[in-house]
Amino acid sequence: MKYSARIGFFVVFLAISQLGLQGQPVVASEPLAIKLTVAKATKDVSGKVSWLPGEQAKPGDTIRYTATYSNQSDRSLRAIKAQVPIPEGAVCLSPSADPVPTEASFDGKTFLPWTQVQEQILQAEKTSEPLEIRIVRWLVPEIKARQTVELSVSALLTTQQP
Amino acid sequence: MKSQTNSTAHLRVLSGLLLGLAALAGTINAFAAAPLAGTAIGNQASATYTDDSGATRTATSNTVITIVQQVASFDLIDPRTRSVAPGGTVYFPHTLINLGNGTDSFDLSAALTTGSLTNIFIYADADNNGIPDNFVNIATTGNVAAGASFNFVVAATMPGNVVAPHTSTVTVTATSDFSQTGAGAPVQTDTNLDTAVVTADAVLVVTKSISVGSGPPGTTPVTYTLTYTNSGNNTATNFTITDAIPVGMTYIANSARWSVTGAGTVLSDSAVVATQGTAPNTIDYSITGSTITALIGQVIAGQSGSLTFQVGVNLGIAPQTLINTANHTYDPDGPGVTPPTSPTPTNPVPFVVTQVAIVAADDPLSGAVPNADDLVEITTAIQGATVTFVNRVVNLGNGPDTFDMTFVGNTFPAGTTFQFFKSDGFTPLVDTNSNSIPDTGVLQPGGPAALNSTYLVVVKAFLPTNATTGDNGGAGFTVTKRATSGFNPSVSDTVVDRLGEITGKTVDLTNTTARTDSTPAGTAAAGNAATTGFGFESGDSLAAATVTNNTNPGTTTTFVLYVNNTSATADTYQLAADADGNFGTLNMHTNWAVVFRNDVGGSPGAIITGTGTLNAGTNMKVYAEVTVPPFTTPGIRDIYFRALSPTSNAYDIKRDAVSVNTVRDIGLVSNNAGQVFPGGSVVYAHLLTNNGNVMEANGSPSVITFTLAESLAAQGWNSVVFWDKNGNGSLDAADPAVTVLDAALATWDGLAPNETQRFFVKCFAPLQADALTVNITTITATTSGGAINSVAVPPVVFNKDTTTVVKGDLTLLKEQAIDANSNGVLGDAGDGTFTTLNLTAKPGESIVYRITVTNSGNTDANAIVIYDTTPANTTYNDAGADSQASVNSVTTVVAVPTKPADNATGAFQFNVGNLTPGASAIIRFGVTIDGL
Repeated sequence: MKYSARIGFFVVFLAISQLGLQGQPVVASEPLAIKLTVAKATKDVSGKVSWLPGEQAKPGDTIRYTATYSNQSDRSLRAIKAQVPIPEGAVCLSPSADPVPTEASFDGKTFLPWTQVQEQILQAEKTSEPLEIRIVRWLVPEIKARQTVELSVSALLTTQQP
Repeated sequence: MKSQTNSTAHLRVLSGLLLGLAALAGTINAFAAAPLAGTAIGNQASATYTDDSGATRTATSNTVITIVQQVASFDLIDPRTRSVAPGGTVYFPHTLINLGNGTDSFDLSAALTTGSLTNIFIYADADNNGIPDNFVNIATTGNVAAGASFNFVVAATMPGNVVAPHTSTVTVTATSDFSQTGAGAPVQTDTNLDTAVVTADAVLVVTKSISVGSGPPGTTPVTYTLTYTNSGNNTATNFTITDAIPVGMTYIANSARWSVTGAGTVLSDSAVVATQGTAPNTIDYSITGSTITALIGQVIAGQSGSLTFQVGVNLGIAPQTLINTANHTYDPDGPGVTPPTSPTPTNPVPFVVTQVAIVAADDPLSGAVPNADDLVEITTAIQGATVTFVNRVVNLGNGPDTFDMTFVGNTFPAGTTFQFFKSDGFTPLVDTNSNSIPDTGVLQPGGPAALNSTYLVVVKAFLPTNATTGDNGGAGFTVTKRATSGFNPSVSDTVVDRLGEITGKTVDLTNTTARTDSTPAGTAAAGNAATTGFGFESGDSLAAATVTNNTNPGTTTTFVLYVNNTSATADTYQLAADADGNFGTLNMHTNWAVVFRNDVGGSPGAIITGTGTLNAGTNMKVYAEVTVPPFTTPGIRDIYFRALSPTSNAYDIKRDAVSVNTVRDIGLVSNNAGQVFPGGSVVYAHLLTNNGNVMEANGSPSVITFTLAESLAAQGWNSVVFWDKNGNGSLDAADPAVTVLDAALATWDGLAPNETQRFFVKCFAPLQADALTVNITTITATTSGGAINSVAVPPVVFNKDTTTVVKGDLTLLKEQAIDANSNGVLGDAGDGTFTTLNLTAKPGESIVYRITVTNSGNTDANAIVIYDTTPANTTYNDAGADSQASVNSVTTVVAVPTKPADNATGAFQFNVGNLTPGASAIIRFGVTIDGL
C-alpha cells in the first residue's frame, strides 16, 4: 500500500545576491534597478495573516514575490515591461497579483492578455493538464525620475510526491 | 485526484490569496512534480524599458532562492500468499520503494499474527530472485536513494505437526527512519500481511531471476530464469507457467531452454510444434504475442527444474523499471480430486532501463546533430548594440534532462558582456538544478519532433560603445557556448555564435542646415557630399573649406553648424576647433578664439563644449563663434570643426575658413595748444598710428606725406615736422625733419599694423607778431601709392596746433608716471617715474600727471590759470597725495577751484597765480584707467 503523504516538504527561503552567479552580469549603472524579495504568509493565533520574509514554509503555503522597480536616473523611463517569473515548484495565484498584470505566459515564450489567461486556465480545468502561468508581466507606461513602482504576485508551493 | 486538480485550478483563478492562506491548514495541494530535497527554486525579476535616449534596455533583479527540504514517503509491496508443506519453509518476497524526495533508511520487522509459523526471519534479496541472498537476518534496509527499491524475503517455517487445512499469517512492517526525526515527522509506517497455507499435496515454489538488473536501451540479451521446486509431498501435474514480457522488451526467437532437455535443445517458439522431452517429463513451450507459455507434464515431489528465455531491451525507450512477473498453476494431487491452483505470481523481477544523455546545441534551423560544429550568424551590428543570437538545445537522450548553459570563450572586443535569456528574450536564464549555473530547465526526451524536448536559449552580447570596429581580420567575432547534461556532465555539445562585423557609429557635421534624413530635417543632402562634408576623408569633402566667412580684424564671425547623429543609437559628442585639422593637439591661429554656443530660439545661447545626448537620427544646432584678433593681417585661415563621441569615437570634421579683410586706417593725434613770444618757437608732439592690418608708408606701395599749413602764413608763421627717430619723446638734434615717409627715409621701415611713431611740429612765430595773436598750424598726413588688396588708401588725417603770442613766456612740460596699485602715492613697487615717453598700463592701474609751468620770459607772468581734463577712458583718482589735484607755486595765490569728483571724469582748473621770470610751479593730478 502506498503511503499517502500530502504534506511534509519544508522549504527555506534564502535571498542571495546575483553577484557570483555564473552568467548573470551586473550592470551597476543601469538607470532601472530591480529588487526582488520573497515572503511567506503566516497566521497568528487570532487568524491574522502577515508576511514574513526569510522563514521556513511548508508545501501548500502561499509565498509572495515582490519586485520593486526603482528609477535611479534623473529622467523618466518609459514603456517598462516588468516581469516576474513563477518558478517550477510553485503555482501562480492569479488574483493575488497587484496591480492587475497586463499579460502572462504559459510557456515562457508567448504572452497573452491577462483576461485571456484567466479564461484559458478555467477552460483547462476541464482537461487533465492544467495550465500553469510561468511569467507574469506588467506594462508600466512610465516611471518618473527617482520614483519606484512595486509589483507583487503570490504563488503556492507544490506538494505532489515524485 | 480529479477533484483536487479542479480545486487547484479554481484556486489559481478565483479564490486566489484567500484559498492560498487556507492552504496553511494543509487542505489544498498544488500539482506539479515535487523536486528532490536540496533543490533550489530560483527566481529573478526583469524588465525591458526605454530610456531617455530612446534606447531599449534590459535590467534584472537579484535572485531569490527557495531550498526544498526532505520529506519521507515509501511503498511496501505486496502481501503474499504461499502454500507450504508441514515442516517446510515458506518465502514471501517483498519490495520497498522509497517515494520520498531524499535518501532514507527503513526499519523492517516481521511477526506472527495468526497460526503456527515459527523461525520468522527477514533476508536481503538484492538480485530480486525471490530467494534469500544469504541467511543473515536483517532489521533495516540501509540507505535507499529517492526513487530506488530494496528487495527482501520473509522466511518462516511451518512446524511438521501442523495438519492441513491450516493457515498462518505474518505481519511485515516497515518504518521510515527519516520520519522518526523531528524534521521528517510524522512517523510513516507501512505493512504487508503474508499468508501461508498448509497442504499435503504438491507445493511448487517458483522463483524468477534475471541475468542483468539494469542497462541502457539496446541491452541484449537479457536472460530470465524461472526456477521451480516441488517442496510438497505429492506429484504436481500440468504445471503451467505464463510470462508476459514487459513492454519495452522484445523476445529473442529460439532462446528458450529447459533444464530437463538440456542447453542443447532449443524449445520451439511455435504453438503448433509437438511436445518436447520424454514422457512423463515433457514440455509444451510457445510464445503468443509477447507472452510465453510453458506446460510441463509433471513435477514429482522433491524435483526441481528451470526454464530460461532471453529478451532484448528496446532502443529509445525512456528510463524506467521494467517489472516482469510470471504466473503459474498446477494440479497439486495429480489425478486426485484437488482442483488446480489459482494463478500464483512469482517474485517480480525488475530491469532498470538506465538514462542516456545526448544533447545537440545548434542553430534552430539545423538538423539537431550532436557534436556538430553549429554556427549561428549575424552579419553586422553597431558599436554599443545588443546582439541577440538564438540557440537551440535539443534533448536527444532517453530521459528528462536539464542542460547547463555556459560560455566557453569568445573573440569579441574587450568589454563585451554576455548573458543567457529564456526563450522570450527578456527573462534571464536562471539555475534550476542547484549548481549555480543557468540552465534550460527540464527538457523531455525525444528529439526535435517531440513535445517539450527543445528549448531556445537566447544569447545576448552587449557590445561596448567603443568596441573595435571591423570584421576581426575577416574572422568575425565568435562566442562559444556549451550545453552540458545535468544527468551526465560528461555529455555536452557546443554551438558558436558569430557576428560578422562591428560597424562604428557615425555622425555628420553639416554647415548651415541639418541633413534631410535627420530630425528636425534640414536641406543638407545625406552622404559624403561636399556640401555637407560627411566624414573626414582627405581629398574629398576636406579638399576645400565648405563655408568661408569674411570678417575684419578685431571682430567675431559665426558659423552655424549642425551635429547630425546618423547612428541607430543615441550618442554624445564633444565639440572642438583646430587650425590644422589634425586634432592631435588642439591649436588655433595666434590669439584667435573659438567658442561654441547652443541655440536658444534661433540665437546663440550659452557656451557649450558638447552636445549632450543626441538620440538616434536627431541633430543639434550649434553656433561656432570665431573671434579674430585686431590687426590680423589679411588672408584666409582654415578652421576645422570636429564633433567627437568620447564613447564610440565616432566623429566628423568640418573644414571651414575665415577670410580676414584688408583694413587701411591711419590715425594722427592730437590737437595741441601753446604760447610763444614773438620770434620764439613752440614744439608740439603728434602720434601717427597704423590702425589697419597692412603695412603703410613703406613705399610699396604706401607712402605717407606730411603737409603743414599756417593760418597766419602771410605774417611769417612757419612750421617744420620732425621724426622722433630716437624715440626719446623730445625733439633733439638726432631727430630729422621729414616730409615723406617711404623707403627712402633712412632707417625708416614703414609703419606696421598697430605701430605708432612720434612726430614733432615746431612752430616759429615771427618777431613782429602782436601779443595775443593766434596762429593755427595744420599738419596733414596723406597716404598715397594706390590700393592694397583692392582696398584704397586710407583717408587723410590731420591735427591742428594753436599757438598764441604772449608777452611772457610760459612753458608747460607734462609728464606721466605709473601708479600701479592706484593708491595715489608714487614710489611703491611697480610704480614708475615721470617721463614724457609713452607708457604701457593695464586697465585698473593709475597714472599721475605732473605739469611743470615755467616762466621762461624776462617779465612776471601773473594770474596764471592752467586748465586740463581727465583723458578718455580714465577717471579722476583722489586717493593719495601724489594724485590729488594740487598746485605747488611760489606765490600764495594757489587753488584748484574746479576738479572732478573721485572716480569721475571732468575738467580741472589750477590757479597758479604769479610766476617771476625763471620761476616754476608744479601741478599734479592722477587718473585711473577704466577697468575691464
